[in-house]
Amino acid sequence: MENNMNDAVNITINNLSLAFGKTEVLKGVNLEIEPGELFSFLGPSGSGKSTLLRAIAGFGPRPQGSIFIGKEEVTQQPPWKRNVGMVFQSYALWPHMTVRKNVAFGLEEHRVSPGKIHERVDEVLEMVDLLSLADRRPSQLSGGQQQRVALARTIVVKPRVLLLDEPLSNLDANLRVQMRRDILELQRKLQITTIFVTHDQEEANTISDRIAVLNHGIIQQVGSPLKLYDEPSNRFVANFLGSVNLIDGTVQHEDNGYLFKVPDGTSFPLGNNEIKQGDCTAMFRPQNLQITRGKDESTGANIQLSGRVEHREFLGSRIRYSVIVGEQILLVDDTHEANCTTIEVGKTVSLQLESDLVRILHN
Amino acid sequence: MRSLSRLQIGPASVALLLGAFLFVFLIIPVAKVIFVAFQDPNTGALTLINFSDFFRTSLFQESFVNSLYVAAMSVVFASVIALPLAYFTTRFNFSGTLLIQTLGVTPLIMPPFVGAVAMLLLFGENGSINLLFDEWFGFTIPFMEGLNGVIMVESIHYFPFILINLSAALNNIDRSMEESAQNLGANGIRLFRRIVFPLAMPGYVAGASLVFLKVFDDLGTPLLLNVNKMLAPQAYLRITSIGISDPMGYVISVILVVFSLLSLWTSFLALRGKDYATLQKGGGGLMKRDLKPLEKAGCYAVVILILLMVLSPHFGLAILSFGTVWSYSVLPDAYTFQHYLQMFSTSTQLISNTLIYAGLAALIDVVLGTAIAYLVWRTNLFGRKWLDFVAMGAVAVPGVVLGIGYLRTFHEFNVPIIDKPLATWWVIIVVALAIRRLPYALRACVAAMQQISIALEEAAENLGANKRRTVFRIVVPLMSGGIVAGFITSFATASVELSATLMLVSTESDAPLAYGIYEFMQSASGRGPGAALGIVAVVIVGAATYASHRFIKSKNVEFTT
Repeated sequence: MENNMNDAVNITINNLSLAFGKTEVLKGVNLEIEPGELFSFLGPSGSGKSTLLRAIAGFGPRPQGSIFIGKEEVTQQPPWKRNVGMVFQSYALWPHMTVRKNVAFGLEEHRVSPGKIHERVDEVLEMVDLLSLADRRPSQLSGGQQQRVALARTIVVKPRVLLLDEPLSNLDANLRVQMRRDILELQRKLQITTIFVTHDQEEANTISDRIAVLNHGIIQQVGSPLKLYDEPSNRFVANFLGSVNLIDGTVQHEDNGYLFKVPDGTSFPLGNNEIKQGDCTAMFRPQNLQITRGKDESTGANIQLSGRVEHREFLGSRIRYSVIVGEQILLVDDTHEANCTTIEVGKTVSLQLESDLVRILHN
Repeated sequence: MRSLSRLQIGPASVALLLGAFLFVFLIIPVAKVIFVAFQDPNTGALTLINFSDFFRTSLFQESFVNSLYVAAMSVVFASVIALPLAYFTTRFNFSGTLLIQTLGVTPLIMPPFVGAVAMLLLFGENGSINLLFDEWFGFTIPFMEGLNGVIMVESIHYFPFILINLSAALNNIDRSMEESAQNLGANGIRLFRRIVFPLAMPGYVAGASLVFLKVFDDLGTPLLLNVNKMLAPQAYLRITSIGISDPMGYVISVILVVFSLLSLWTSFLALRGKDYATLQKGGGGLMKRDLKPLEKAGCYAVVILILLMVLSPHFGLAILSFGTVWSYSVLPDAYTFQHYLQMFSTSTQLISNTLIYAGLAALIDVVLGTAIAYLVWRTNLFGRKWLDFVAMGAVAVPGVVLGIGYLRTFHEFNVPIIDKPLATWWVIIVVALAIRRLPYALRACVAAMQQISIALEEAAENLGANKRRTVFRIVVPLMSGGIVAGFITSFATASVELSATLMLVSTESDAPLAYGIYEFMQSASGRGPGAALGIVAVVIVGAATYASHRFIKSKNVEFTT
């Protein structure tokens, strides 16, 4: 039943739909997860990401469609037969057992001999740096320690797949950063196909090989963090992965190239590469814009806009300006270096943007 | 939880076994009783003639009215006792609150019938108090005369139900509700009438209907006080003197069940949709104000008066157990250990029977309770809600009705190896006790189970444990606190149950404590030993209650994250 750690498996999900009573929670999900990948399900609450993860583990109502782990179809199998290791958001450590007994549980269920159990429990507790606390009860551990016990308990049975359900959401911010690095390191070391569920795009961005963004039970887009950030396929993904400027308008073909026209009169050129005409949304990130005081200071970028600072936020590494341009409010990020002067609210500014940094999203 | 039929075979067969047990030992006997009530004793045809005979007989008319009267007045007097106590603890910064909370428990450790005779000796026409009143003031108060006696004993025993419900209801009223009402101009009586009273009402009604139900069904207390013109005693007398074919006993049973159901229905209606538990964080309960010295004295006076009254059965019983002869005098003539010695030498079988019956019944209760709790709350089995519903239905069946039902249903059924009718075998007493206590054990098990997060079971399944192993390695150990508490409570209450026991004990050697006390108390010379036995019963129940509290507390501490 145990996995040879060198043989990572892929996971295939075919047309998976799931409903709680009458409420559809997953609608026709198709997904292919590569062996050894650290794959994230990212989305807001209610998007279905946890439901999808739990369906892979075997919890929840019976779904339509199929789930394959490696070559084996597991859709009809009960949870205890699937050998997928799951770490729950609440850690689900059993309060009436010590750390050691918690971790040994799975090995006992798999009928491993007591001597071997002791050895492997020690080994995995050493790996997560908790061997000295082996005889404590969960209630005597801190949040971070409990999380590591939950991890240890899961990996000691050498599952084919590792499923992590928002494992960091109960930790404080500093611990979260440290833990996600530790999880990444562990995953690389064990070379185990891992699915990580989170609603935090920073978490997903920093550790995933690829991400699936979900909303309302439908997969919006699948790709590497970089690809999703720079080339989102729709408004939702663009918005979810970070701050973004989204302007509705139309693309028209003029003599000297393509033009993006906004109803309030603003327009900017989009270069000569072919773009489908018609109603669409223009998308560009706040850090793609340059901001300077005053009007009409040309820096060579081919989109020039002018406006007025309406709001200013200090974000540590950068200053975020809200600039009124026509009837739009654009977010502009300016790197903050010490001793740099910032632009006051109310001042007129000009914005420069390279047209190839503008992405057109068709709805 | 998957609804694959393959996974359901285990749980389904357990559910069927449970269903069969409940069917045979609860549904059939009660159905039989109802059926016989509507059956013509000669022809066997369905008829209302038994009911019309019942209502045309003046003895039964009187019994019916008396039962209603006694139950209602018990509610009234229990409220009279509970209301000031609830008011003092929730309205004022009263330092005697702990005292009142202890008060609230003491009556419950002594079943009403045990203290009934002691109350007679204290408050009866020639009892201690009236002898003193006559001497000092020249008049007597008919505390214990006729129906009054029953009312007095029952109110003192059952007022905690109202006190607890009322206090909880009042404590749930958020301070801000009161403050906003005052902000809008209401105060004093108006405030009470428009805000406090309506919010506290559902809790009060729930407690009151429960008291009504229990008093209406009580068999032991009226019998011991020689008040036979009430429904439950009449049913008992008809069946034991005329026989199990007499239809009147069954008619009375039907009436008892109907009123039990009505009381439960009232309680349900009162609480439905009116969960007034505060939605706000902090600041629960009404505003408490400090007491002025004169008010404080007044409060303490009332509390001490109530305290004396509430503890009177306990005092009386203790005195009776040590007294030689106690009649027509304020206190016994002399004191002795004789009764206790006599009890320990002759009555050991009563005690051992009780321990066996109550122990087995409690064991059945927690096993059934855990199984039903798991099936109803953790599986998707078709029709599982019915298991919960039927098990809880035992609350509506008075002990005397269950007893009659068992006698009628099983008197011809011969148990194979023993070669005795099931109705006369001591095991039927265990079954009756188990069924009667099952609703309470079930609720305890359900509460314990609901404390366990489902993720804890899922984690076990994820690591390779199937449902059966998960139940034994995870669910049951984590429920253990609630299970043990349920066991102890079932044990304690089963050990002093009298109604069904009176119907089902067929030979002296099968008798448990409650029956023994009842028998002893019937004669003047038996009162001493009877009281000694009563004290033993109180000690058992009191110790069990205390142990149960401590056990739950320690388990909570152990598992707190």
